[in-house]
Amino acid sequence: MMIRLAAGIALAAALALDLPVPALATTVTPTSAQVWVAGRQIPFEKLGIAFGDPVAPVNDSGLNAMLDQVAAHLAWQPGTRFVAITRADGELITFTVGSNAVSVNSAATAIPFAPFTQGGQLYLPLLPLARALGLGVRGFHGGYVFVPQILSISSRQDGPRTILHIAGSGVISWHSAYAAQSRARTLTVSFPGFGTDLAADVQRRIGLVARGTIAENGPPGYPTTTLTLALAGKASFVARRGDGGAEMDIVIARDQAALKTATIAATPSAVTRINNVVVSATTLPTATPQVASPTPAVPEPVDTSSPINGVTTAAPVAEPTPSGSPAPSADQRVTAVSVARVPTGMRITLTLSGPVSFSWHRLGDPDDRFWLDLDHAVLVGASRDLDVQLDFIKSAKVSQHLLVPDKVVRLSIAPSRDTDIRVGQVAGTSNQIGIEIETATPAPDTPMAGVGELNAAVVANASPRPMASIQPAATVGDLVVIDPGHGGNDPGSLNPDLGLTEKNLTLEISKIVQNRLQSLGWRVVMTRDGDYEVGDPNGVDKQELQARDDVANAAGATVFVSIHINSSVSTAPNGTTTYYWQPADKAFAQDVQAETVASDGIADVGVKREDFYVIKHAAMPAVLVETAFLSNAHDGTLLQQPAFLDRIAAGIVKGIMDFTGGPHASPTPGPSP
Amino acid sequence: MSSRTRLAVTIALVLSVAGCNHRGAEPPPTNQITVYYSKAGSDTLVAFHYSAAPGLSGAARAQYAVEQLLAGPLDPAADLLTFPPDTRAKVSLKEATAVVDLTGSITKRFSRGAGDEAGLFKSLTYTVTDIPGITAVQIRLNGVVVPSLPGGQLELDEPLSRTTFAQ
Repeated sequence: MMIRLAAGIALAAALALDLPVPALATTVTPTSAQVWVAGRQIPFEKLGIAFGDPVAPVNDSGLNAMLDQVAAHLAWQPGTRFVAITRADGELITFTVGSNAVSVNSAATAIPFAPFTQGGQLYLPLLPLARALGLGVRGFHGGYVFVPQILSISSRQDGPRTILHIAGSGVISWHSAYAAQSRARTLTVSFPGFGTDLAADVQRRIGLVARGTIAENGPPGYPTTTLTLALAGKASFVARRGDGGAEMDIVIARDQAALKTATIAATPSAVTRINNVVVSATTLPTATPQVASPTPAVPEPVDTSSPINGVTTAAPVAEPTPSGSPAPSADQRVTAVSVARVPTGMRITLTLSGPVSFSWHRLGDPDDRFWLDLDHAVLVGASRDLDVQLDFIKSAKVSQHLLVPDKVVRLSIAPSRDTDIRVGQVAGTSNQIGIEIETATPAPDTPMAGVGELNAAVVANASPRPMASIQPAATVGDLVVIDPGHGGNDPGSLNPDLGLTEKNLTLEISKIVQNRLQSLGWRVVMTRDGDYEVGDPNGVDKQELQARDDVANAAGATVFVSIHINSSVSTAPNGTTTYYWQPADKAFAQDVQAETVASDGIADVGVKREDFYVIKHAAMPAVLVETAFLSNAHDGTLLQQPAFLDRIAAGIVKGIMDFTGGPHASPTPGPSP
Repeated sequence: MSSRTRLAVTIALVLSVAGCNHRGAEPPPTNQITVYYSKAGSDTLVAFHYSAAPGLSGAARAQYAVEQLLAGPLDPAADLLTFPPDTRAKVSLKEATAVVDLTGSITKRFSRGAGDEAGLFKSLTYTVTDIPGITAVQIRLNGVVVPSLPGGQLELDEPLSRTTFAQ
């Protein structure tokens, strides 16, 4: 490492000599913009804007917290020109005062402006730093979101074992699931909070892996990258994290014996921390419920004739699908959730209408959270808190975690200390999963994660109640989501004669709307605040449109407004139109239309109901405003004028105020981006 | 069939209608089809009645109607919305739903506004569902059901019917 550091510094010194040094009087304007790294907000002491980009002093606690979040380390001595940052993967990043370049392991990349000193502070530009750290950079929520990336996936065959080596730009945590459909077996490994730029087809056939694909989904601020491995037959696997945490290996073998003898030396550094992903073969004994569920949807069946067995420790590795077990397929319902005392602690029991696959994950100190996901499952009734009556459990909640692309019910438990939580099918039942919270502290080698299947056919005592409607995220009373139409590789409408492009105009108007709303006390989330796709740039348009709805739905916005510029093959049409889809949203559309027309002064085309994707799939009142016609000479000329864009924005804001009555203080803290 | 050829077989009954109403129009004879065009910037549909070969029914009749629609209106100055000129369609029937598989530049990027987009698919839906026995239209792009046109807003992964466009 010392040699590498010396080389980096030498290169940086050369760069400092060769590259022009900007002789600009640097002004740092303090900003309250938020910085999010890997889904967590990082508070800075002196975050500022210089040359239009965010900067922070090198000794700012926020900068160091940002680096901590991705397991990077900064070394700098006051009075020196070089700042060396070691990434989680050991690569060295070097910034040099006055040099418009950053070097990553001796490879130099130009940056917009050099690190500079002001007021005795050495400021680093955050965007180049984030990119050098391998983070995706996205503007969002009036701030900056840096998203760790899955950077590479490589594979090799080691005797009977197929080993996939995965490298990320931050400490990797993962969530695995196994599905068996007929003869097809799929291992899915998801990386919450990670994005990726890797091509979809990431793995060709090797050993037990027939094919591997990777995809990024979810909101831009907190995406999830999912690696899907089609397996060539039955297989068992373990996953282990490498030294530093930014790498992991997935080891796949035909049987457990091959896994147990696996000796992996693939990672550049020794594997010092190993968390086995364990396929749970646990069977929990039945328990007589002693604490009633807050709102059980149906009476929980209790098989008191079953023997009370001891809780079996999860087996190290097992084939997750017992031979001949039914394969989970259609969505199943979680019909009841109950809590009961058992000798070793408390048990939460989930009763299902049929077979499901599930996976669980437990974090270690200091973040001791646990969650269990039921795939292809729908929660009957609303999300709810559970009273588990244990003083070291801060909260326990069951919720409809995902609806798109798959329905996932999540049980989440937040302990205040490291806690052992065991998962298994309740003995004597075919439709219950038990989650036992142990009162004893866990042993160091307690499994951290697992997957399994509820081994059940469609049960006879499934709830006869009709499926309840799914509750979206709780509405936040002072939050508006603004969606600037199009962006990135989708320019929208064009008027080359006027030099106007829809995606730029929608962003400009949206930013004015954002500022005006914020001045009225609203919090505003923008689906994009730069020229980029909200969803996957290489994805289909459904992902793009759904990604915009995902932002609004996840945030629990009060209202959603998608802003567009209209265009026609004919030059005649002009004016403002507001679209809605849900009949209940007509009043919102009318308010926005009336105020926008009153403000922008162009023709009133009226409100219209159309089956437009973004307003149909938003879970809150939603409208799409086609503000003016780019194809019309009169409207087009006006769209060239900033004052006209401001009038449009002012009208939209008034319409939101008319419909909502203004922001209402939210009882909950602000949403994650 | 080109516009020029079609002129020879067209009967010149042009009728403006609002929404789906044939106000004042006699029902066309069974060897005719009705092609609807949306007026740019409005919800108005304009109906053109064309003669069709005797005996055409089902998918063949729908195919003929869609080809007429894609060929464009007889009066290009009438501010009627038309599909991009390179748009082609293959129509098949699945019970009461016509599957209209579009190819051409429209499947790559739609760079007009939501009003034109809704108007185009409204005209296509009205044209196809005017044929007896067809109640809905499933759009495909290059053989694939998609949620929307690239750059578009209208949801296309579910069949379109006249109620889709009911105000």
